[in-house]
Parts: sequence; structure tokens; C-alpha cells
Amino acid sequence: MAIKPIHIENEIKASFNLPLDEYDAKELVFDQWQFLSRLAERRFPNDDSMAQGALLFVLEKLEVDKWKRVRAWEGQGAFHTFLAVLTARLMTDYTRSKFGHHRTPTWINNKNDIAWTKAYQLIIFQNYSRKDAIEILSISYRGRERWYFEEMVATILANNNRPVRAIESQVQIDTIEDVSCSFQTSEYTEKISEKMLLEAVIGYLNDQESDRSQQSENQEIERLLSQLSIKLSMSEEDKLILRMRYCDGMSITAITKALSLKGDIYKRINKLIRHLTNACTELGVLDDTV
Amino acid sequence: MNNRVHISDNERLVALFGLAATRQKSNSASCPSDEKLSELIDNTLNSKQRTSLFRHLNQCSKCYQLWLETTDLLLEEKDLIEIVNLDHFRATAS
Repeated sequence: MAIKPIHIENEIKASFNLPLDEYDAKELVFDQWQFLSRLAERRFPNDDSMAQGALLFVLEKLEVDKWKRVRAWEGQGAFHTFLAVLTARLMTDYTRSKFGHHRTPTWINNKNDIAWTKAYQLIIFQNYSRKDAIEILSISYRGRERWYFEEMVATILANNNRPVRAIESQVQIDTIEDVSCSFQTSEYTEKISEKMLLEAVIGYLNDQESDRSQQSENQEIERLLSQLSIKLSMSEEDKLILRMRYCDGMSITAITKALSLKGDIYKRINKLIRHLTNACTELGVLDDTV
Repeated sequence: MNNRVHISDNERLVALFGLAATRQKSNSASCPSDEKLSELIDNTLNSKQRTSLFRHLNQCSKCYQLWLETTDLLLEEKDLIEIVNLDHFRATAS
């Protein structure tokens, strides 16, 4: 097995002179070939041809300029993880080179999330059924929860008005509209529809540009956000936890592992949500009854 | 089956509000190197470096997505490594 556990990582650092020369860089990459294959299979599950293509693309790009990208490793972190970051970056480039930026709509690109791009490709380009697309996405991004992909696929289908290939009676979809269905607004925000409010907040988070008709409503939302920011106190780690959980649908287990967190994460998230709810209620963004 | 049992709609909305309210403008000029990101993934950075990288990830969507993508890819791999390390520890101990 080509997995490099800690003791092997230490041996790598001890047996290679840093900075790496081109021969050592090449040797290290080929030594990790099985690991790279697994990453490609995980990135393109149920698609051997894409996985193989991606693997060759990664190798080709790593080899450029006498393995320059690999030689950039300074031995500060584990080589294994460093190579995974390089590979993830290159596999994203491969997907883009395969399908091109121009064929994916702006609203998908604006999300800056490869999972959205992949979902779009599965449904629109590769003609997968809704059910199969959700399955593949769930396998590809194990750290995220299923509802996230159900919403994602529903949103893409709703935006493309495209008939779905297979019968999908087994999968219930929660649409984006449902997310705000129980959100109760006070008089303060009554004029802003719930759906619009949610879309504007998500758009704001994703750097999306709004058209002129939305600008006045967005100005109102930005004013609310500005007032809310004064009342909030969150660490960078807190923000990252919330983003992973509520924007990217990651499970508590995946968040805990990704951030190497200790303690009860459920309690921590609940505390953050209480803090945010109180701040929103004080500002009149939420009713007391919520 | 509805899988969204753990997240209520209001919970999600206040979280998104909170994130939008505390969001700072991105500063892509200071994107971390691939090695720095790998150190973050391996949890070998000190607290100051970690906070600084978290701040960047909260501001820069490209780095955040790369970090998330790599972390996703490595989730299973890390479990495998833990097993290999445990086997090595047992072999050394015996």
C-alpha cells in the first residue's frame, strides 16, 4: 500500500535533501502513484475514464519545468498532504479543461464551489438522472450531507427547465424556496420577501452581482447586515464552522475532522446559533416568536 | 425521506445572516502556498498561523474551495493512515 503514515513521512524528510531536485521529486510522486489513483477515483466515482484522464493530466502538469510544482515542497508539512493539495487543484483544472468555463452558467461559476460545477456537469452535460446525480455527488463529497445535494440538484433543474431522464418518485426534494418557508419576518423586513431575502444573503456571500431592480432591496439588506455586524462577535474558526455547516452542508463529523476540533461541536454550534438568533431578534430581523 | 433533520430553516437563515454580516472583503493577494494549506490540513500550524489562515479562508472563496476539496478527498485517506499508524505502533510495541 502506498499510504504514507507518520513514520514514513519522517523517513521521507530524512532521506531527501531539500529543496528537492527533479529526480527526487519524480521519485516521490511515483512512489505515491496509488495514492494519486485513489484521489482521482474518489474525485470521479463511477467514471473510470474521467479518473484516468485526470490522473494523466495531473502527472503531465506536475512534470512541467522539471517537476517545479513538486520541488516547491519545503518539508514544513507532510509531503503526502502537500501532494493532495496540488492534485486537488490540478483535478479542478482538468475538469475545467474538459468542460470549459464558458459552458457553465455564471450563477454556477459564482458559487465558486466545485461541487456545484460537478452537479451541473452530471445533470446537463452527462445527462444523469436526478437520483443518480445525487448518489454520485454524495459519494464524491462524503463530508457533506445528502440534503445539500438534493437542494443543489433541485436548484439546477429548476434553473434549466430541463426534463429529467428517469422516474424519481423515490427521492423527495427540498427546494431552495422551502428553506425560507418558516422564516417569520417582522414589520421591519416585511416588504422584503422571504425568498428574496435568502437569495440576497446567499448572493452577498457568493459575491454575486445584482441587477438594477434588486439593488434597492439589496441596499436595505446591506443596511441590516451592517447593523447586525456591530452586535456580533465570532472567531474566524466559528465563521468557518458555520460556513461549512450551513453553506456547504458538511456533517458535524467531517467538520470536526477537517478543523481538528475538540469538544462538543453540537453544543458549540447551538451556542453560536443562539447568539445569532438573539442578535437578529434584537435588531428586529426576526420575530420574538421564532 | 427528509435528510435535513438536523438543520432547521431558521437556524440556517440566521447562520447565513451572521456570515454575511461578518464577511470581510477578499484579499487574494496573500493567498497561502499549497504547502501552508497542507500544514493546515495536517494541523501542524501554531494558533496564530491557524487563525490567520482561517481568516483568509473566510475571505477567499478560491482557497476555501481548494481546502474543502482536498479535505474531502483526504477524509477517507486519513482513516486509512490512522489504521496503518496503529498497525505500525502495535508492531513496534510488540
